[in-house]
Amino acid sequence: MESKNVKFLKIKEDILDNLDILIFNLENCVDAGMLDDGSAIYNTLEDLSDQINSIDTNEELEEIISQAKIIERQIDGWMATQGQTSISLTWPTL
Amino acid sequence: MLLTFLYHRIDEGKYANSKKNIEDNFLHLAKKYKIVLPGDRIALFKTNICLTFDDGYFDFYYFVFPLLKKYKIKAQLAVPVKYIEESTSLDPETRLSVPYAEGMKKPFLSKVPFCTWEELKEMSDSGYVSIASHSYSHKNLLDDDVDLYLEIVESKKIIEKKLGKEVTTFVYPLGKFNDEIHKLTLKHYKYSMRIGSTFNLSWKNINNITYRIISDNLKSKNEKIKVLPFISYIWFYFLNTFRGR
Repeated sequence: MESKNVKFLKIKEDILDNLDILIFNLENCVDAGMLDDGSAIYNTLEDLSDQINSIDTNEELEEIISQAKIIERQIDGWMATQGQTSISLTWPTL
Repeated sequence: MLLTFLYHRIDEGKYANSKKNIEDNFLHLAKKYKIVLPGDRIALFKTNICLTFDDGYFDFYYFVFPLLKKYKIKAQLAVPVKYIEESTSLDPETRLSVPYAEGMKKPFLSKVPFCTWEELKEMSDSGYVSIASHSYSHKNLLDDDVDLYLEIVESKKIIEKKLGKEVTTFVYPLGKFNDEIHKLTLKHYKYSMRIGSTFNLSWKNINNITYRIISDNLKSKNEKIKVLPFISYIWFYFLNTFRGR
């Protein structure tokens, strides 16, 4: 049971790492000209990071990952318009 | 403040980091610091990081380039022009098998241990990698028989012709140079780099050179950004400035 908890915490940590990376990537893209009206994307990422701490089911984590992947695709898509291809982050499998 | 880290190979051994170590290091840096290339604006009151890899071994293309694309960060790769082949059909295992110290020796060059021009062009065009000159033949520039024009000026022209982009940075092979060499370098490049084991206050500091911190054999993802190394960085900054190099 304990190891299951440890694994769950590790997954949360990996997701938080990826969200941090996405926030940094987004900031760089916005600096370079990407539009983020009212910082909506940024705030969503911050919300997702905040939510992680209170989550205790795989289903909720899956929902976070799914929303984060949508934002990741938005960022990748904008970078592609600037001629930069990218590789997806490694997301934990639940 | 700018910290410029110097890496060599992705492998086991003295001048290397394992693939896991380098990925952990990149992940740590990418989520905390502004990653910049020579000439980029340095954010004030923040720690800026410049990632530099020397020698251009194939493992950079094979292991590091995908990580740069994954974390969307940039790095500089300094290549000694003489050892770069146009392209190759050799398998990655053969190319990766050449030990660090042997890569520039004749028997091993047939294994194409360095990135090819084709690979360098792809990386340069990707926007993730800036190619710098690491001289023509990676000789000690203080040796008597060295053709400085070939090593410093021609190497730049060759890279620019092959990649179709301006080369702004020269990385001193073996860290060796003198005032005359440095003057020639600054005449042809915006930036020059050596190992100085310290931070930078700008891309050029007082001595028109960017200092780098060796980051091979990392023991932890943030080993070079802890408080203790900073004490030695401060010491080396003053020492380098005082020595005029």
